[in-house]
Amino acid sequence: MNKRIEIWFGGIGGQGVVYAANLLGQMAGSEYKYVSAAAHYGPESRGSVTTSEVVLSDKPMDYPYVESPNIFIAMHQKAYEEITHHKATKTTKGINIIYDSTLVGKAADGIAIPATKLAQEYFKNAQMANLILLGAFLKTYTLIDRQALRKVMTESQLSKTAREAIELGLAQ
Amino acid sequence: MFLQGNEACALGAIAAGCRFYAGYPITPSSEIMERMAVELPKADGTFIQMEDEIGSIGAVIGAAWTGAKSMTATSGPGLSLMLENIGYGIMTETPCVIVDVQRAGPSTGQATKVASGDVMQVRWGTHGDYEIIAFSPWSVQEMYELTIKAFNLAETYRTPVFLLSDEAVGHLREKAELSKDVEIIKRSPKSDKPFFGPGALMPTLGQGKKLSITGSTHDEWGIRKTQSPEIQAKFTTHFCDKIRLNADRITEYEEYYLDGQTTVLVIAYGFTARSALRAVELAREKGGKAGLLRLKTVWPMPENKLKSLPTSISKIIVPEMNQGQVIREFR
Repeated sequence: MNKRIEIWFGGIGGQGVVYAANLLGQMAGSEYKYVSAAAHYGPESRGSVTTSEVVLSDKPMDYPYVESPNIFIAMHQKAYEEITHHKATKTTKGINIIYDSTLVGKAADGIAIPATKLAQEYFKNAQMANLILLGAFLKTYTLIDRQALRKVMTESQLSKTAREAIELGLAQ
Repeated sequence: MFLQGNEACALGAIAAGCRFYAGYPITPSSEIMERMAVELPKADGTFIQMEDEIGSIGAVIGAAWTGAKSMTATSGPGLSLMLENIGYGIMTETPCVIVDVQRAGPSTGQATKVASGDVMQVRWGTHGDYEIIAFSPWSVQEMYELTIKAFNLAETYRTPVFLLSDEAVGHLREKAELSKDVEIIKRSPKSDKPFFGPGALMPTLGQGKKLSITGSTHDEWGIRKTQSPEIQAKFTTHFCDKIRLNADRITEYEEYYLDGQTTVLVIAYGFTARSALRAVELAREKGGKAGLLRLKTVWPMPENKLKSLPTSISKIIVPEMNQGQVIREFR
């Protein structure tokens, strides 16, 4: 089987866009032979559009960036607009979108998860929204076996709160 | 293991026996420094953050003379500062490894964006007459493996060796197999051989020898010979020949779809070679007879390979993340 799955994360600096993408890459490591994660951001410590691309594949990937994205995880309106206007998105049909409905207002098609609102309610910390959204993504698109996922969560150095945030996402 | 290219570089350095790191943090190379700060104390090595890049390369060269395998990592702006001392490293035949994770320049340019603008800087950046070795990794796996090779060639040829990486490879995360069972070249024990020149072994301070180490022209015992044309000629010839005459041993490249049928050849290095391979495969899907020659070492160039390319090739494309630097080697 020649399978290549491209997942595009988009948010702004400070939301943990790169962190969530890297964690997904780590989680996918046991199930996919080839996994890559690449981030794009500016020199600002906060606020500029930040994207991260995770590619899962069964064969060696020469090009580890998004060509035809399968799933777009939108974490902020600014990134949503940038990615939906990107050439790769425009030329791809059937792209699935899952988005943080607290911060992305105009996503017409897609699965709305009020991740930032949930993070504030449950953890009193908006910064947990990335992991809630990651959890919701993992639940919606069963790309990674749940057992393998929990194994990575246990083995990795995730804090208790981080694990709880992913679990909260998985329960959405 | 799922890790970042820069982290793989640091782990490769530790596996190769690196026990001294001096540096000054700069995007997009900083993760190498951060990881070395964690790993070196565990390996009974020494880590030091210096006041700037000039101090960093000075400390790295000095450490090499105490017997330690040593390394620094930087990006273009830092490399610009290091170049004078890199010449000193070449003149004193000091084994060490310099990692350049390239970003867009000139000057501070775009710190977080990829480029290949330093290819000629590593080749010609310091003054005088010399040859240089530079590896060009294209994956996280190679950030590990080629760092180890860089250390080995630094010892073999007694010269600073570059790992010429870029932001895309340095920051990419991929799965990689980090073998602990690696071949490393250990420094020779105390010997009575001359300290410099053909066949000389790298001496170490504190072994009871009177070492004179100078950036001025010197004879095989390190004695300054600043008026002798013969010694000047002998040593610059040696700096060039030790790499030129061993170019076939040093150079590494990979061929994809390169045979007597290939009509369009792409020559690429670093991260660009990955995009190039994708483009070659897309061209072949459409019936184009494209091939790729991927340079794992950019310096020295694999001249013998280039001279023996199939005569079927009618066009050579050299994509680079700059305005055209290495392409001048093929014109």
